[in-house]
Amino acid sequence: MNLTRTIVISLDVLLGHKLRTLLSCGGIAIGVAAVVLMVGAGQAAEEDVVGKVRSMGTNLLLVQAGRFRAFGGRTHQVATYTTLTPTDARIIERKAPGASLACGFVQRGVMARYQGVRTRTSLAGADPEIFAIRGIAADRGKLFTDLDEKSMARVAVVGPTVVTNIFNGADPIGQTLEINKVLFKVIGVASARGQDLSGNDQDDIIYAPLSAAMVRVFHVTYLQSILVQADGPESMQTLPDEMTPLLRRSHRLKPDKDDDFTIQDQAQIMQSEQETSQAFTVLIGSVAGVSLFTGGVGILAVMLISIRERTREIGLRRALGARRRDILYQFLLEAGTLAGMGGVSGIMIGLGGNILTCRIAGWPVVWPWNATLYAFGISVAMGILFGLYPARKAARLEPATALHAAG
Amino acid sequence: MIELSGIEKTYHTGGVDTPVLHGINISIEEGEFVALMGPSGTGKSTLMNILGLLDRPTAGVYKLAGQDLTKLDDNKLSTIRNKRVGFVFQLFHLLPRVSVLQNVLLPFLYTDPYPTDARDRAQSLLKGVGLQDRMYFKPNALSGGQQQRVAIARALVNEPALILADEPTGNLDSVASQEILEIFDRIHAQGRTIVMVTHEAEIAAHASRVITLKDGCIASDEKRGS
Ligand SMILES: Nc1ncnc2c1ncn2[C@@H]1O[C@H](COP(=O)(O)OP(=O)(O)OP(=O)(O)O)[C@@H](O)[C@H]1O
Ligand SMILES: [Mg+2]
Repeated sequence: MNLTRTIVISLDVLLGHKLRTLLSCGGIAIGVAAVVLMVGAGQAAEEDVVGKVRSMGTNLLLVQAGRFRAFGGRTHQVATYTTLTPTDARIIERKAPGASLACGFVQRGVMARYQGVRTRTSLAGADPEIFAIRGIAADRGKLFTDLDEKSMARVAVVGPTVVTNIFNGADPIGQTLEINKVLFKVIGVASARGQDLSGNDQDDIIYAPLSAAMVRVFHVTYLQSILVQADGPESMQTLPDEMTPLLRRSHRLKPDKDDDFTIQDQAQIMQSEQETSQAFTVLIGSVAGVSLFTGGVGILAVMLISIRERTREIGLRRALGARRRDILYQFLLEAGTLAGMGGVSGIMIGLGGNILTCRIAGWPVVWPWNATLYAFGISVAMGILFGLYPARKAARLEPATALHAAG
Repeated sequence: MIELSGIEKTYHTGGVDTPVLHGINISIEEGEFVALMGPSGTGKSTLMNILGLLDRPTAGVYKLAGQDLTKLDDNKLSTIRNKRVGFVFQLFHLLPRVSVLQNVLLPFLYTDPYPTDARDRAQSLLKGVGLQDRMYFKPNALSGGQQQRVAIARALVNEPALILADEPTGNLDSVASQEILEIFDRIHAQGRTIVMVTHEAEIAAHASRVITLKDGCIASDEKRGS
């Protein structure tokens, strides 16, 4: 039997029963659309996480003051420690072979005042290396330098959100900003970084030289953390072991004492987030897969009705010389075609919905090619699987009985 | 051409045995036009199903052109139906959703290899039954007589030696019946073997031989010189 001729006949039949074809395709289409949409959304969310992890800086280790304990999937500081200092950052930079940059860091919420209006924001005191590590450029004005750091200059680089919130979008360069009653001069606007993994605005921030922030605003001598950039991916493994003895010696810790700092791999911190969204993708993907199965049952029903209605046609074909297997193939092909048409429309609906979802959620648009191919393949397989029973039933009909059936 | 010896048929349905044919012996020569007559329920259609390889006899031997068909498997029987038997049914049995031409081409769907002149053959046959300007119509746009002519064209398209027609005019008025019978006469004149079931003597008059069944046995078998 010629395949193209069979396809032509099947299509003829399917197009003849428009409503029924539509209904059974619909089930599969919804299933496929659900898989494509859900997996697309899941992958976009994952991609979003990956993008955010990358925006935190590559090959980055975080030395945090104090001990951290994992709690509810996130880490929490157990107590405040005052032992981590800017000197530690210099030690790491100089003595840890795998470290290329080390940047002292303190960030806290502050009250900023400009032209009498007070606004809550946050101040990050950091070494100038922070800009390189986080990939921040000056959108306007300039960034502060080592010179500003050494001279404890009261200069500030503000994030785009601060420009909107405090300066009402006007050019802030050269303006004087009061931060916790200390006057700073705005010298630059930082490039936008967007939201972090928890959805916090990373642009609602003011950067100031570490020395000025610590001494003049926060009145502390210790750091919150040190951001350490490794000189390559390989050093990420060895760097913690290089830094630990350096910091312990610097903090004069006796051998029986626990570390008073915690070294974390940024990527590691985010890995759990990523795993969560991966699990989410798999879960919703499977749920959507169930609806594909339901679509398959729809095909089964439609094929059974179709075969009952077309018993005499089957008898006629047998009389004209169709073998059992010709009848089997014809109905399998019909079921497969039905499912395939459902699959294609489902893919189109799913991809369309996917673009929309990503736009709305602000995620990067990810084409879930794998899921699309799988969903299509599975839908055709479902069609053939669920078409198998009706098709076998059709093929087993005795020619004489089928031909003279009522209807 | 056809040799039936000791053909018996018993239907088993729902645990009940219905014996229908009781030892039928018939021999039909090539080119004969046989009318099969008899009261309703005597097993004419049952015999036609066996002749057309749509059903197997419970006992007995069926030889077509010297070949014993009783032992052949379903695939081989299908091929024989496709190439050597043409069916004309009382209820036409056309596919409603495809054109007249496609209906006539349907047997070729199961012919290997597909003849290159399939379309020409179908078209000239449709012309032969006066439907050349109805080729792209759907069957239900045609009258009963026209539909039956399409069915005859379909039965002839693979040039079978044997034509089986079970009450081909049973659903037609006398004018249409007359047209159909003329076509059968022509087919007969071309040398094909025809077996036709009918209830009417005038129709049987077209045949060269009349076999009458009664209660599953042959009651009479008359050849006419013509
Ligand atoms: N599939 C079947 N199962 C059981 N009995 C059947 C079956 N087909 C036919 N019969 C019985 O076999 C007998 C002969 O039927 P058949 O159709 O061959 O008669 P017929 O001579 O063609 O009658 P008619 O002139 O009415 O068409 C009938 O009694 C019928 O009820
Ligand atoms: Mg009958």
